[in-house]
Amino acid sequence: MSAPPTVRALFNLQKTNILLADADAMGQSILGQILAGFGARNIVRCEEASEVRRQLKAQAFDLVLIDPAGFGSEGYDIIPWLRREVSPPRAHVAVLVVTGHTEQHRVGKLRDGGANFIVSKPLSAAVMLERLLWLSRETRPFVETSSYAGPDRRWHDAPLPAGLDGRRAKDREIAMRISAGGDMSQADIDLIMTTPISAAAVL
Amino acid sequence: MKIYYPKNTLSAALKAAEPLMAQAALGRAETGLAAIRNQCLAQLDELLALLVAAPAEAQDQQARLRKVYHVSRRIIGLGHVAGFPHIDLAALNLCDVVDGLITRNHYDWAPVEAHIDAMRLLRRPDLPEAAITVLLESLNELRVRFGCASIAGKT
Repeated sequence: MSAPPTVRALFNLQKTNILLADADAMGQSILGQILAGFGARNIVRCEEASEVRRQLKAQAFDLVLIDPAGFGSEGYDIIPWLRREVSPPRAHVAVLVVTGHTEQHRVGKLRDGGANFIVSKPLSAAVMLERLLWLSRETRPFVETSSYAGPDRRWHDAPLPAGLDGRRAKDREIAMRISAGGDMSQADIDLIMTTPISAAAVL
Repeated sequence: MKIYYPKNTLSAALKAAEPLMAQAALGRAETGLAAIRNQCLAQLDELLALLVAAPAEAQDQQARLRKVYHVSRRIIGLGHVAGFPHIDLAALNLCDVVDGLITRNHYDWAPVEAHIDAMRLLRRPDLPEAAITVLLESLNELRVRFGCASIAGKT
């Protein structure tokens, strides 16, 4: 069996500016080791919420990793603040929340905070790699409403339900669900899976 | 509603760097984690000691439970690196149980102490796999009974 595509991808965080925000020194150290393994050299580490905000205002990052739980209730306000109060394009930086457990009364706040992805601890290097590749392929637009600011939470570009005409020119028809040229054969899929992936193809 | 189409600067930064095979990057990350294994183990033992002491501390019930929650949350992730991944699962379970108890103002220490005892057992390197399975199943039953998932009408 060939290795999964993620493992064969080309990937290097050497030129990526990263903010690593974790109030727990050892938690920060674990994430730092993974990022360093992935080639990261430019990592700004923060152990206090006020410092996280100061850094987010002061400089541009390509990636923010944050465990909000360690900063208490203040931690859950950082991403909404970033999305609303920091000027674009810095407000639109890719944010990956890495958290162990979220208290019941904070689940909604975390979910609606405006992060690109939320991943659970314990976190393996392989899962982190996969999530970073997802983030690098992120094409969702940012939306800003009275109740939410962050990446569009709609993932599916699905057609309208059957029987509806739609109101917009861009509304897709049901017929688009049916593959025009027929489905790929297993042999074609296997060929793609065993051909090395170039950085351009991955990104 | 405003809609923006921001440039993905992470993608641009990755393209600008010299390509590295992800498999090699994973290997380097694992080596880095192995280098801090002993530090993680020491921290894990320190936090387990705090957990063991927490139920007997002279604070009100809710403050003690909150302390258990915060200590347990800090353990999640340490066990994985320290070579005791099942402790992470038990810690995650304990967080859910304590969160459920606090949410209901139900200060029952029995499920908490059962978790702490189980975590001390899971710290033993010679614990048989079958015993680990039984312990984790028991903790999961406690989570189903006392954790947040058991609260009716949760959002």
